[in-house]
Amino acid sequence: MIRILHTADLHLDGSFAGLGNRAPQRQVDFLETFERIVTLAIKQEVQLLLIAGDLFDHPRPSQVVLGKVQAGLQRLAERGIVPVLLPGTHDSLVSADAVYRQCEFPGVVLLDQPQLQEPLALTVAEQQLFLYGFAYRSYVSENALAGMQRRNDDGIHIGLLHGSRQGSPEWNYRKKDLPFTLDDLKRWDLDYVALGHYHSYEVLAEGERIYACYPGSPEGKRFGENGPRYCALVTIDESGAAIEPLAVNGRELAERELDLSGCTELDEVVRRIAALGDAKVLLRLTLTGILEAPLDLSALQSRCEDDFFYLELRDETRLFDSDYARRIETEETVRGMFVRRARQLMSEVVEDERPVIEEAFREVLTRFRAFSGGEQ
Amino acid sequence: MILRSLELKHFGKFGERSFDFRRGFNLVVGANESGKSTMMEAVPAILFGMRDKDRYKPWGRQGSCEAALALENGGRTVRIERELLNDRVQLVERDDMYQVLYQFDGKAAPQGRSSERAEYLDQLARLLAVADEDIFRASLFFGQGDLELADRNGLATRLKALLSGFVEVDYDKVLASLHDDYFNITRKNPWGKDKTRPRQLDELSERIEVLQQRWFAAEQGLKELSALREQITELTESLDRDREEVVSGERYLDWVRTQWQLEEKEGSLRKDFSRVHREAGKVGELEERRAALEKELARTGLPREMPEELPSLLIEGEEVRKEMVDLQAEASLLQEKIKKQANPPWKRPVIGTGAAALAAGLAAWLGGRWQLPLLVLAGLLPLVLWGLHVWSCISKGAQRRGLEEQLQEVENRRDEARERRSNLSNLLEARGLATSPVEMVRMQKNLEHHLQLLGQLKELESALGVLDNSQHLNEEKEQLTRELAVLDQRMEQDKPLRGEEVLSAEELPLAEEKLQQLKESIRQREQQLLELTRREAALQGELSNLQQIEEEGEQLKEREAELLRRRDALAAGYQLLSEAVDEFRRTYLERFASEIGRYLGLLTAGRYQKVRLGDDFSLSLPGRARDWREASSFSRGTNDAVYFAVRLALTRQLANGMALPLLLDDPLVNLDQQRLTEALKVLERLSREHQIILFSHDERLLKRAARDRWNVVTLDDQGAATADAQEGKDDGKQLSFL
Repeated sequence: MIRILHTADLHLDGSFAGLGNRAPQRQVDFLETFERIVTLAIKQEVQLLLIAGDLFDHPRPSQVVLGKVQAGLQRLAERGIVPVLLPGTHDSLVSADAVYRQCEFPGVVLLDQPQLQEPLALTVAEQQLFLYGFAYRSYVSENALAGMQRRNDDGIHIGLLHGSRQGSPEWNYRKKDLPFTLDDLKRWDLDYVALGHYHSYEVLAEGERIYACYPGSPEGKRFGENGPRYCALVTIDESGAAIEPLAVNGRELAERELDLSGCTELDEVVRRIAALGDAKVLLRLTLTGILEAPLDLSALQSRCEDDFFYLELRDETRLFDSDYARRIETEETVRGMFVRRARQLMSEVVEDERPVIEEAFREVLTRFRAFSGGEQ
Repeated sequence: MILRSLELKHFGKFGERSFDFRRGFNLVVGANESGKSTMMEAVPAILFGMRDKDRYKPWGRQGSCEAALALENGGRTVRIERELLNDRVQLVERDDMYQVLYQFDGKAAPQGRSSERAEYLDQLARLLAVADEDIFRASLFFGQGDLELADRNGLATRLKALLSGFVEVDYDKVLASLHDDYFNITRKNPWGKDKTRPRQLDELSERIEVLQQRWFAAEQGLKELSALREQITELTESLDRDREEVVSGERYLDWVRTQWQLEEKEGSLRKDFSRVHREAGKVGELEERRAALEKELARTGLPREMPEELPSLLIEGEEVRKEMVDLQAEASLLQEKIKKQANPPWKRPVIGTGAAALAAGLAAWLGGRWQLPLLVLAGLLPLVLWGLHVWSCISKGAQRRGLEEQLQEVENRRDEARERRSNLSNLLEARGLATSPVEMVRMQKNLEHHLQLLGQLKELESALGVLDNSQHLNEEKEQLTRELAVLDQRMEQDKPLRGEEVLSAEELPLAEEKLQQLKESIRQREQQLLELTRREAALQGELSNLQQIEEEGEQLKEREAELLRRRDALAAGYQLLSEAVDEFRRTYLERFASEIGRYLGLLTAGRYQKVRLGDDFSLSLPGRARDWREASSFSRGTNDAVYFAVRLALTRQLANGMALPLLLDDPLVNLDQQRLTEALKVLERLSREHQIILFSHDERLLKRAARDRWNVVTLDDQGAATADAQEGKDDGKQLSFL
């Protein structure tokens, strides 16, 4: 019986250029999540901590990050918990100054061979363990997957793989490094395979038997990795593997929609957005609906963004179909002429280009409104 | 919008008066000089100030000159108060709950330049839609005289500007803002020349391009790197192999050289050995010979150490003996000679004689011719033969005698010799040597031999003296053998495993050269290896993580897509708006013309319904022959109607739908009854939308006013306002929009 904490894709020392002045804090968040995982491993009294790839966002992490990682892993090693590292796609071993080649990780098992000849044998808690894993490098790791086959029947056989599962929902969104299928997993007949690369939590099982699991990223890096993020606490014994997801994220990412139909005043919109406010949330808010007055998005952004850790507004409101637009249409003014022309163009143009016209419409009318002092 | 009230304080001939107006038709009636024009002029005076401040200064009085008006629009009221002498203006806007919406208190001189004035005029434009006095007088203020739109004070230009771009100064700002935001994003200009500096999108696209290149480079780099590494491994392996070969080659050559050395040494040792051996042999031989010689020497019977005289004695003995022998020989010889000198045998002449006899007999028998010669011969022959025989007997006998003499001499000498010999043997005996002649002869013989032997011995000895003694030599030989053995062992030991044979002298330089070449090639390859390793290090330095590049690329592409969309939207907006503006501008003249036409139709009861407006604001009307003729070529009445229509249309346009009050100073003065009635009808119709304030002296209108429930203000000579007599009655029927 063995307890393992399985995580992957921490992407430490990543850059968060899109977050503007929130980027430094976000980097700190990621380090804190790492610390949280280490503490969790200790508290849960696991025997192994498996990090199945992409611990770092790139192969030359800064000294600060590296120091923290080394210290954290050493803490585990001192308590008898064995950390196992697998180089992934972001922190690969290709270049000579890659972190896994240059730096020491005392007490850590690093699976850095490009081809798996023999599994690594370990004795942990008086049990014989075999670790299967290889550091993928193109042109050298041809056919390395064949090495994942279980060698003998004694002990517990655990695989680590940083690869892409064909058939997964993320198959089309990520690079298809090291593809494999569920059938491959079944064929290898290992007790458990710790996967990494895809950032969503997914357990690969068939019937009662659990084969492998993608724990997902423990702290969301981009929108799409929303909601709570997990590590997998895996218990392996004779009857198989059991998984329990443990939430470890510091902040959450969320994507929501807000329908602003009928709003005419900026203050009202601000109030509605503030109601969603949460300092722990990075929110991508899509505004929809038919407005009755053009909305100044930058004013809205600057008024609302302090209610969140990070706020991204996406304007998909429609002004075109509003009564406001219809009123202007009848005017004998340039503005009216503009609306009439826009309407005509909208009816002539293909479906794909309609959003552009809509946005153009909004841009122009917002400015008309702004320059006429806020009146109609 | 209506003018609600007008208050005058020491304005012109008025003291303190206020006048109220209502919606719809207002008539201000008064005789000439009653102040109608003054009153009417008060409105622009209040709004814009007076350039000529003396004009309406209170008669005969110093002090202030003030006036105020109140406008009403929907629920809002605007009160404008001006001190006409110092142009201090107060403008207050209130809503329907009498709350102040806006307030202005400042100086707005008619030709000032201050920002206060600008602010005031802005508000005026907002509230009244007209902030320019000339335009005011060209539109809602129907003063005396014709309205000529042709470029008086640049009026036409200003009108055009206004008509095409009025109120909507905003759209210029909008276009400008769209323009700026567009060029914030990109420098490409679909409407003209591209800008020079790269903007957000351009920089982004560049960055994406760079990233792509970096990605490709990284991919290439990876490939190159792995190829390079293969090369390096290969090279290292081959170098290792060759180095090994060099080492073993050198070892081999060393071995060969050592072998050579050893061989040489062996050779020399062997030579030494053989020399020694030979020497030893020789020595041995010599010693043997010496021994043999010694033996022989012993056998000679002569003492080893020979007494000095012995040889001479022996020699002498020898001599003597020889002499004796000689003598003997001589003697014998002589004896022989003597013998030889014996008489010749008888036989021969006997035989000869016999033969001759035979011959004679034969001759006689045969007879013949030959008889005589043969007989002669037969006779001669015995003679000859006997003669010879005799002669030789004589000679021989003489010779014999000589020889016998010699012989005697020899005998004598022999005796001497014999004597000598006996002396010698005595001497020899004295020396203890054998004296027997045999011995002596033997000794004599052996003497030479002995001498020879001695000589040889001496030679030997000397030779031996030069050479080492045999023991020494044997020792040396032993040593050499040992050394040889050791050498052999070493040679055996150092034999290369490959069991190659030792090279010959010719082959060695070739082999050395080959080895040199190999070393050279190794050096070159090491150089190559160094370069490759440097290149590998450089590559790895440049090698960025593919993954990171891709992610960054994705993010940049997302942003690019956003910017592109925004750019397209801005461009589309700009395009649409520009087109709208262009269309609007193109058509405003037409629209204005059609407005004018509409009003004209109203004013001429349908007679003229169309006007054409040139770009310089010249008016033309349709003539009889379906052509367009200048308005001035038409009648005065028509012209009046046209210009009236122009003002109305202008007012309409300026106010943008807001119905402004129209102030008319006796415009109907030239009209005949019919036209007057028409005009009044039009005005009434207009009064449904616009507040009309008509200033007239014509008291006939009073009747009309009464009939049609107009608001009437009467000015008497003192300028006192007389309330409308019918006011009370008409209250209920009047439209009162408060």
